[in-house]
Amino acid sequence: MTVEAVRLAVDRVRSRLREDARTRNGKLFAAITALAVFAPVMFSPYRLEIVMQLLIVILAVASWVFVAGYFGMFTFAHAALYGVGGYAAVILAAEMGVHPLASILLGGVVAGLFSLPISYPVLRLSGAYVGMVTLAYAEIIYYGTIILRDVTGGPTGYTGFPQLFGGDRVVMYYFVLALVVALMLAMYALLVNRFGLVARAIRESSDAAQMLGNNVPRYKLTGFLVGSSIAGVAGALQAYNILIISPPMLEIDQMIEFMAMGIIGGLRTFGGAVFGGIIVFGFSEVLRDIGELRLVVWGALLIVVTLYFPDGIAGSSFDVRKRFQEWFDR
Amino acid sequence: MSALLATDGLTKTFGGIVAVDGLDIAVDESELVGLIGPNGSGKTTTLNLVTGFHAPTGGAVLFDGDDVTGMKPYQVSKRGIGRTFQISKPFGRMTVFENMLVPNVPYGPKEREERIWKLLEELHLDHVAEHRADALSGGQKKLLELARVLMLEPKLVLLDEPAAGVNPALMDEIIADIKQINERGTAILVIEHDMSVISELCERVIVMNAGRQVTTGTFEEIRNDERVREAYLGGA
Ligand SMILES: Nc1ncnc2c1ncn2[C@@H]1O[C@H](COP(=O)(O)OP(=O)(O)OP(=O)(O)O)[C@@H](O)[C@H]1O
Ligand SMILES: [Mg+2]
Repeated sequence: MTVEAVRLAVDRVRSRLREDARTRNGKLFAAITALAVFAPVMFSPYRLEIVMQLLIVILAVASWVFVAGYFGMFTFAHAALYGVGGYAAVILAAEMGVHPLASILLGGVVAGLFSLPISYPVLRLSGAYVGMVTLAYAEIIYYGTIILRDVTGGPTGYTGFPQLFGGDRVVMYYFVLALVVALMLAMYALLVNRFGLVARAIRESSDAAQMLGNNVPRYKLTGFLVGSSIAGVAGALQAYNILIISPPMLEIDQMIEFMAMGIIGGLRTFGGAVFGGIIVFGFSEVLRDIGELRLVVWGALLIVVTLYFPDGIAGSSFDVRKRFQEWFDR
Repeated sequence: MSALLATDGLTKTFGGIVAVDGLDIAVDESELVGLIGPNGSGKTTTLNLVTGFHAPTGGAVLFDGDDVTGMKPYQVSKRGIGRTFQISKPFGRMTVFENMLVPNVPYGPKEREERIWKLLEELHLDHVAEHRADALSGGQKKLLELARVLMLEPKLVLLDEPAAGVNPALMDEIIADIKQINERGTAILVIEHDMSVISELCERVIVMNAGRQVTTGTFEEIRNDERVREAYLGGA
């Protein structure tokens, strides 16, 4: 890539940001970001913890939408790779003396490496087969974390690794916020440039995209690696955030939650992860007491969304003011 | 002069079915050739072999002096073969203009945009440039596929049933467009079941049956050929 090409790409990101900022979603994101910046002064320490977890979840969901929504590679292994990133980071920091901050990035690298064994089938197969292969792989990793007791701490999980920033939660919060925003912007930059255009073309017809001179396998591999690595970084952040990592973090329930968030928010719009994250995460906080029944609520929510907003909340043109006006005029 | 595209004993079997059976066909530079044959005679499979979607069981594909057998579709495309599909594959959720951005061409953004508008005008799609591709009519989708392929400035374009599902009003337009593209020097191989389209368009017609070339000649010649009639009537 030449300097000129980079300059063009950056220009493109800037002009798209300006464009998107004027849309309904753009305005909502601006408000949400402002809220996030002032969260430490507005919220109680307990609430701040929840916001921090929400930010991390949004990053994980966005990285799944990047892979599943844009390329159409419907992987079920994302939560497992998120967990792999978490385990890798804290184990590297605790056992091998890697600096905790560096270990977060390395968690992403390791998650990327763990995505390689399934990249071949994911690139070549379609639809349900991708689902089956990735699901099987996720199960293998999940049982791996339970069985490899010496490395992972087994079913009770891994704990006792160094804290970030000496346990200062406000500094930790801003670190999480900055990293999440930076990685979201990085994915956004890719998606509004040629990379995203070709990804969308591949989702609709990989044959046609290929026949138009695009190296489809390379695009898909890049997308899969980037998405998986970012999931790994999110997992690493989460491990440092809650100071423990255990098998449930990469269980299929976690994957279903990510998927529900992505689909409810909207798979065709990158910002969908933000809406989906907030809505589903919000519900599950509120509904914490009903336990497993939450799955029923998500199921119902999924049905409503797929029926009435087939492109998710972010992809819908639902305008609260307009609806209110209509209702008022009746 | 050697041919622009030539297949040499090209063969493809799917399990027990021999879809293409030792096929030898050739297309010269700037030629407009028809490829006809009954259903299942191996026409689409031949295109899939030439463009690298299937690996041949045997034989070779030669293009522009090189052996391109077994190359990937994007590599074949880079060498100058463009192709449309029997079932249109527009990128439906993108606008017509965005569709035109997908071809991987070496131009800068300004030149690219100029070329896009020029092609959209030529193929009567400029007024729907901002429409989503899945909102187009069947004929417009075929035109869009054609316009998209032309962004790559191919030496040879392979068209798989460009007139299927096109309403009669647009049909004449598509025929005229294909002729014009060919007059500018692009070789075209067109698969079509509609014989009026073939007779209108093609200088030469290749007839396939059961994976082989039955004969080749002008439309008049093949029309009166006993073997061709047999291929269509005899049920292979
Ligand atoms: N991917 C495939 N797997 C198995 N068999 C195939 C495949 N593609 C084609 N065939 C078989 O190969 C033969 C030739 O099919 P092909 O699609 O090339 O015919 P065609 O001449 O294009 O027919 P039509 O005019 O109906 O489009 C048929 O018997 C078909 O069933
Ligand atoms: Mg066919």
